[in-house]
Amino acid sequence: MNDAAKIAKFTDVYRANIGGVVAYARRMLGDEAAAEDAAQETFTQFYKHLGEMREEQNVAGWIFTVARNRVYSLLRERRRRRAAPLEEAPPSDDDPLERTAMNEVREIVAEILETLAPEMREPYVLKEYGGLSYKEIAELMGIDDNLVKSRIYKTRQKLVSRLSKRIT
Amino acid sequence: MTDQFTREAQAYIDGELPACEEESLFAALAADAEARAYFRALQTLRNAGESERSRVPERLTKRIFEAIGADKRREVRAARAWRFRHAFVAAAALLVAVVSLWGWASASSSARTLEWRQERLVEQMETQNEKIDALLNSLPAATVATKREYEIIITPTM
Repeated sequence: MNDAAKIAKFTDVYRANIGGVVAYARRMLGDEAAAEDAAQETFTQFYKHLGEMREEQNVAGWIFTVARNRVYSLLRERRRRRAAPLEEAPPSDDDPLERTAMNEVREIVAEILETLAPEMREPYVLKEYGGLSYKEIAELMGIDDNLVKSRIYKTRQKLVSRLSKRIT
Repeated sequence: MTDQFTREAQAYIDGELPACEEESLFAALAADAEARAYFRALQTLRNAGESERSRVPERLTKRIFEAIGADKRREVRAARAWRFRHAFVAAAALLVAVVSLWGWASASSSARTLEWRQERLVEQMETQNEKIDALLNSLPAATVATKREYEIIITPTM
């Protein structure tokens, strides 16, 4: 693969997945700066390995595997250091929708998600934020498809219930 | 609102509800206000996810592409260093080959020169012997004496 083809392929994959990766990392880590670091690490790794990838390889699956490893590594570091409560994400300087109703909902959802156990939160985040299928999530987490479906279902039930209480 | 409805609604939102089951979902939505509220909440969650996905700060994209560029520059430098090392090794190998060839050619030339000199010496000796024979045959009286090797003194006796 020549340089131009490599950059073009990287850009396509970046556009398709950066939003999902950074949203997943943000919701799992609850920290904007750490989420951006994880996303950067993920995509630089992807660029390094781009030439070795097979045509039929599931690129999104590969990317989320790297992102997940990075997220868990950051969580382990944080546990080791017994970090202080997470900092609020800084307001985004390039998001004009910051004060809209959707942002309010997004923040409420984020707050609720942080109260859930990681094993319940992660399949939901991968589905709703990462845009992965049940099958891809099952492969990524090394669990059964039905377990993925069941965890997503339970998490959504909790979110709908709490969201309804918060909004009304 | 039944458990079956909530499962079907979630599967529909995820795009995993078989088409044959959509009819019962739509019937429940048409008949039940609570079901509609639930479905709206699911859509709100989906929109929140999509909204979150669209929040990619420009600084992050810039950072990532700069990191890729730095990697690229490192790759180019490494490739250049690799090429230089290989060119250096190739030049050294060529130099060794040229020196060896020159040494061999030179040794071979010395051997040929020595051989040529030996042949010339033999020829000279043969010519001298012929001259000596000629003198001995032509002069009735002469003393031929070898003083040193390859040096002959012929003295006519008068």
